[in-house]
Amino acid sequence: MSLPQADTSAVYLYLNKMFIPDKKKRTFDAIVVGSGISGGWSAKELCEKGLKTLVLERGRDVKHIVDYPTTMTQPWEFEHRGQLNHDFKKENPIISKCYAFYEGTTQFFVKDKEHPYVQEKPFDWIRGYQVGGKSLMWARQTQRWSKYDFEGPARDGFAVEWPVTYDEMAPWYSHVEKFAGISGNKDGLDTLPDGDFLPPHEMNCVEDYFSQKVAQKYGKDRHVIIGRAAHLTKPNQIHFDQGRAQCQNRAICERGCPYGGYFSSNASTIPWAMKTGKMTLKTDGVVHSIIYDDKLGKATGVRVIDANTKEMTEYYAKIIFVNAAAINTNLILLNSTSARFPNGLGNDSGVLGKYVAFHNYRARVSGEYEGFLDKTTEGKRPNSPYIPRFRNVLKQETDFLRGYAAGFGANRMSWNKNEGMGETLKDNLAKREYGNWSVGSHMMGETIPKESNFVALDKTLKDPFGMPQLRISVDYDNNDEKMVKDYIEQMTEMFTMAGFTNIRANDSKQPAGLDIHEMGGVRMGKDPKTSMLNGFNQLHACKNVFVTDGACMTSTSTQNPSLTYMAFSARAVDYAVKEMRKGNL
Amino acid sequence: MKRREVFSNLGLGALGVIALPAWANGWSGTNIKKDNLGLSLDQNSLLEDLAETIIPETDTPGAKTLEIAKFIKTIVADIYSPEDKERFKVAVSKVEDISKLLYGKTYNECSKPQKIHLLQGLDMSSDKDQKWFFNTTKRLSVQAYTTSEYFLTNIAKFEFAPGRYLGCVPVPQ
Repeated sequence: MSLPQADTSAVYLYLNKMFIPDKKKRTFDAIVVGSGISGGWSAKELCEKGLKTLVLERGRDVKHIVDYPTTMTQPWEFEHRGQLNHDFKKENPIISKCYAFYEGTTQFFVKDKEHPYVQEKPFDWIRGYQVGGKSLMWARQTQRWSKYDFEGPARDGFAVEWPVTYDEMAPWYSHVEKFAGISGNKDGLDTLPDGDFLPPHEMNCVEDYFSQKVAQKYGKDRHVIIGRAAHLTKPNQIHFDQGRAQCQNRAICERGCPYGGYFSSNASTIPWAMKTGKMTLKTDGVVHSIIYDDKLGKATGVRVIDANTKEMTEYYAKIIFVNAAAINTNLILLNSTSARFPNGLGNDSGVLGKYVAFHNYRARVSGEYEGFLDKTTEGKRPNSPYIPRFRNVLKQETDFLRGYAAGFGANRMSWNKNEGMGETLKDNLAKREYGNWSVGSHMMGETIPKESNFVALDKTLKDPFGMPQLRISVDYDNNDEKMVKDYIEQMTEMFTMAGFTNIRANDSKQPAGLDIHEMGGVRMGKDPKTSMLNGFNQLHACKNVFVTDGACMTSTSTQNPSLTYMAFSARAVDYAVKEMRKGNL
Repeated sequence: MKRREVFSNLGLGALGVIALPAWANGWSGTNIKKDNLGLSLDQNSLLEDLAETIIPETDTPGAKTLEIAKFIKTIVADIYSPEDKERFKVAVSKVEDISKLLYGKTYNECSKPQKIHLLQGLDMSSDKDQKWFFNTTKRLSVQAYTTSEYFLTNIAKFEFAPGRYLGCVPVPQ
């Protein structure tokens, strides 16, 4: 006989209603919406400053190490050797496109049906709903922006002027780099400022050769450097204090790292915040909206839908950090309507949801190199070289605005000879054969934020939690097309110059979104008439609400954006807490 | 399938005529118990024999020890499209017919050279489905073998956590 299982959620609901009706229990100093890369930072900084902080996560808990079910799975232990079930892929055409989504990582990504949205134009929305968000599976590239990036919109006359400068950001970049642990080489480039680095990864012979050839040919205009990546190549005490250890070069980071070898909220900021005793974590809490009090003229808390029971509960705080990931932050603000803000919280300007941009990852150039044939590589490297933006840096020089950075990498091709059958085949497979080096590059282009690239609430469709579905209308434009063409031309020229052969270019035409660098919609700016947030990521029109995830981005530049979100979060918390203590919030 | 067609399809015309037992044409390939791919027990052991022919047991483990046929079935059943799954199953069901036409016995009863010869015939076949079946079976056998624990740990010297990256080392001799 099997005993009926206790309905625990009903019991909790009952207890909640009977014994914790007190508004006080649901009142905190600060609320952070989201526990991903920026939310984790907001939480850590708020807790360190002594604020009683509630962190709301819409997904389930993922505890460091214990909730990484595939982290120790050997390649042969995957039933399908990493491949995804045919029917599953068919049911999940969007998420199945993501490079990091495979048999070992399905548990960390949102399946297409779980959270539907309307694609007015094709948009691959890649999401991770769990504690840690996408910081668990991210690509860990962490470059600072330079003054050329922050000055871009003002110089080139697009979007609006950034209300913050590189010099103001620099100490905050240092602050987050030291704690997160960023490996890199001090290259001394003003286009990609050096940070507080742990030792860099090594370039291989062909990458090093290409770097030298590019330096010879283009002087100080173009550079091939080793990527700056959030890996503990040599941990400092601050990393040991977090319970993290040296990266072991497994290069299967997206499954979660038992050593804490790369930075994630789960390994770093969330447990750190928890350790202060100031943090309360509520998982399975989908934020419906921010509560705005017309009389007080500020936000007083958030409404949260329990993901399991669908019951709505209110939580209250003096300051609110919205770190729900760029597009969902837009959703929450758009859904936060009141008499004062009928079109979304802080949306006096009407720009909320608009000027969404992303990174153009469409083009690749590949080739081969027939040198260094007596050499190969050994071990694994969770990183690769990087080519900082060289187009239109000091002045406008092409018929398109802005430019692109590029990834680069070389690998010695090798395989097991698979000719024959039977014993012959077995003998062949035991031998390793070596070919040329393969070389490859991909572009990371800046796209120009436009009013016509937007997200908006659908008037009728709801998601499974009762929230309005988002309509996403984001697309490439002619500037992007020209940039793709230029990248292919320039990279082909650089590869040819270096003596690479069999050079091929490919434009994947992938939809926006698959870059997983969606940004904007709640942009920063100096003028409340044309922007949502001021220079401290504070809503112009609702001073105790801050947005420090990708939604705040005025422009996108070319760098992988996460490091900048971390720096914005730490900087905004510092400002918010000072303002709160001055009685201004 | 006519015997003449089999020979020409397989590119085995030079083999000459082999006497076929009378029951060969009447053989129905009775399915008794299905697995997740829907193969009969006989077809299962046939697939095991095919994989063993491709990756035989020598002084090191072969397909049966490494359960390569099981991997092939799992991949075809779960990963392949319904069309390719069907194509694979149809092709499997024809192998015994071919063996009986060619050698007058089941694949399992064939000698080692005959077993290899038949697969070579599929590889050279003008019948697209047969050629595809051979290539698929061989590719999956090789994949199963080269990603097996035995191969990765003993032959490829796979390191789960190498703890290093060296960018320029001599190619191992």
